Amino acid sequence: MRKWLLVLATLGLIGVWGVAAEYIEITAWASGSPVDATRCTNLVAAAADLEKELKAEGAPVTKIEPTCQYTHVEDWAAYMRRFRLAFEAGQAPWIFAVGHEMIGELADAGLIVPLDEYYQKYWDKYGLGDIYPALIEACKYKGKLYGFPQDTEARPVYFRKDVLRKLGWSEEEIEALPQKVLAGEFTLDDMIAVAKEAVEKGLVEWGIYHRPSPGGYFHMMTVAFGGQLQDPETGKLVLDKAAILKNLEFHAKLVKEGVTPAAMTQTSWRSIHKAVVEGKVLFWFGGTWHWAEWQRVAYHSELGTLPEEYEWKNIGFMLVPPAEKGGKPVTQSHPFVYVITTQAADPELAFRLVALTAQPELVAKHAIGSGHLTIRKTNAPEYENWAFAKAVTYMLEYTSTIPNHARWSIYHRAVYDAIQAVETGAMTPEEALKWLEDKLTKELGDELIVKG
Amino acid sequence: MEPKRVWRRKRAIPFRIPPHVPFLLPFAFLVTLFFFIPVILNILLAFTDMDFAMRWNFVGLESYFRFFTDRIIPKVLLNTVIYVLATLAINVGFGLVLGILSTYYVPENVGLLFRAIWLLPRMTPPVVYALLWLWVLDPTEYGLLNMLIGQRVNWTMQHPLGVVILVNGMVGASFGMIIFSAAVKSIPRDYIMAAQVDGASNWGIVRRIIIPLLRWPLMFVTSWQTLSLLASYEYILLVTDGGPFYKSEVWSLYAYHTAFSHQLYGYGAAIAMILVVVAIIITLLMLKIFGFRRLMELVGG
Repeated sequence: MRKWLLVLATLGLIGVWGVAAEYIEITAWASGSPVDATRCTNLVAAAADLEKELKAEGAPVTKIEPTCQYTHVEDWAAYMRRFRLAFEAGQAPWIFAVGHEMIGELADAGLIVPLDEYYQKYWDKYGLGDIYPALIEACKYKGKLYGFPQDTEARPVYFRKDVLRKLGWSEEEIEALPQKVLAGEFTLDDMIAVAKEAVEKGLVEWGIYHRPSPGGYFHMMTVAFGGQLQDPETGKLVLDKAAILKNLEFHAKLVKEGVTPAAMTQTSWRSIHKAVVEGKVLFWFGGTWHWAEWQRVAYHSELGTLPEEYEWKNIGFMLVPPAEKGGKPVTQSHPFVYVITTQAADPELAFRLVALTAQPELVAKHAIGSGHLTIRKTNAPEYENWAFAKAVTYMLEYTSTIPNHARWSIYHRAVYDAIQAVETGAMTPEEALKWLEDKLTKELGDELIVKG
Repeated sequence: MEPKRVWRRKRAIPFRIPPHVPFLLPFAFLVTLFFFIPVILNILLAFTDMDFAMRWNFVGLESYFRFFTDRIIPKVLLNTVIYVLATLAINVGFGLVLGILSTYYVPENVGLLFRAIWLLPRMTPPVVYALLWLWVLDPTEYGLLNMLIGQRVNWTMQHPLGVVILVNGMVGASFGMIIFSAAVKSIPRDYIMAAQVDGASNWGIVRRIIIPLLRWPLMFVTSWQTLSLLASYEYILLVTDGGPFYKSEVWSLYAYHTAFSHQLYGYGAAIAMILVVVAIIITLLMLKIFGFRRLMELVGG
């Protein structure tokens, strides 16, 4: 009997302690390349600051425990499906880190909460005015803010300096290449010609690689050919037929000229990175984060991870060359954002945690570690001294983002499918455009404007 | 006296549950839970345009109309016909060869070993089996097949449908093999001995005695495999994922991709519903052609 009383008393004490301690678990999901785990760890780091703040305010919270699940994602559709089903099962995290373009779909489905109220309340406290307004703008859908900027980037074309040297380019010519792109003197056709020369001379296996899975790249090329993705007035998606045809023809040409494999979309990420870091490909339509990824993931069969000096010596980067002489080069940014789900028990607390990840030290840690660019105007000294960021920041003047629209993923996937069809020879560019128009007009109806 | 006693006994036990009902209950429960309820949900779902937002928004027959105007559908249907017929030929034909070879032509224990080896793919988890194939078909010089022929061929890209037929055929043949070898073993030895006494060749015995006596197993394996091939997609999903550009996309995989990759649950359900109707029609046709009623009579008699 006495023993039982003791057990009961102990259990009771634990219970009382648990209530008094106000232990709060904040759940989060984040994803990205193998080196983006700071999207998670920064949340965990910010929790300590939030705890201090709450204590200072006299709130009865003594412990904030964020649990963040990080996933290295290669198939975004599958990852979004996992989130969707977790939500349906009542298991959604409080905080979800996604590409900004998912906001439309998530908000329309009623899965995430608008954050305007919290932005207003904490604008001064957290100095949110220091975040680039364009990035906050990217979180807007139908007039409301649904996300909080996490990072951004540029998508340069990387080139192998060592291969260009073997082609007989002088050091000055190589260093001047990004400038020539800026000046509109080096076009996409010139790029194909150089790539072809390198393949024919046996210096590389392939001349030009692009990403294998659906992604912003395929739309960046539509923009490079002067196309539009979204109507700024109505917010509807745009099928710019002239530009998309040029985009499809460009990819058909890549394969026809023998600079890109017909099976590009079937190639694994790993073998792509391996070929790029080993200099078996001359040009790579990559992203700034690859610079960091190559330093941290062992893709090179001899060197393993690349030392940064090796990168500076052998790999250069430039904007996507213009389609025509004298044209404007482009790149693309894909701001990553934190959104807060409607299943978050305390969205305000989640917002504060997210806002605390925008502190200069944490922003710098993520940016330098993952090859992303800052979301802030004023930055920590380590970011200011980071040579790579200094070298690519000019690209942001030539950048654009993909649209935020509830049915974007249908458009996104269909354009990818059309390009795959053209590259693998299943369709000609004209046939693929026809198929694309038919599919999108049927599936998007009123939400699509067909141009040209 | 007699009739009265019977009447009285009946009154004593008014609501007796038939003795077979408790035995059927677990089965009925499982079928209801995992078959009837999902089927009804799927029928309802096909009348909605449910997407990522997961709202039950009823739109009538729109999804069905869409099916008939979808430009990918003709390609998918053609792929499905080629895939099912070709794989079926391997499953039944090769299964028959294996079944007869391993029972009639070779000694018992050798046959057993032989069958065990052929069963390995079936015992291997599908993901592992698919990964082994991906290694065999790897487009680089390290792929097993490329090593053997000394060339670099990108198999899954150049012959996607051929690859999925081969992959499914190799795992499917073992099913026919087991059924056929059991059936061959059940043929009374005296038929074969009598034929041997009469001077029949091995081939004659196979052609005149074994195959005619395998009529029912052959029929069963054919209809069973046809239906399971129509509905299966896991190996295709793992090996080519229907690509490149729908070149190896079959009906059931298209329903899966529509619903779960493109998150168009309503349309995906409609695609699956039409497949179910087609499968039922094929089943009825097969029952008729093969004369299943006679089989049932034989068993009953």
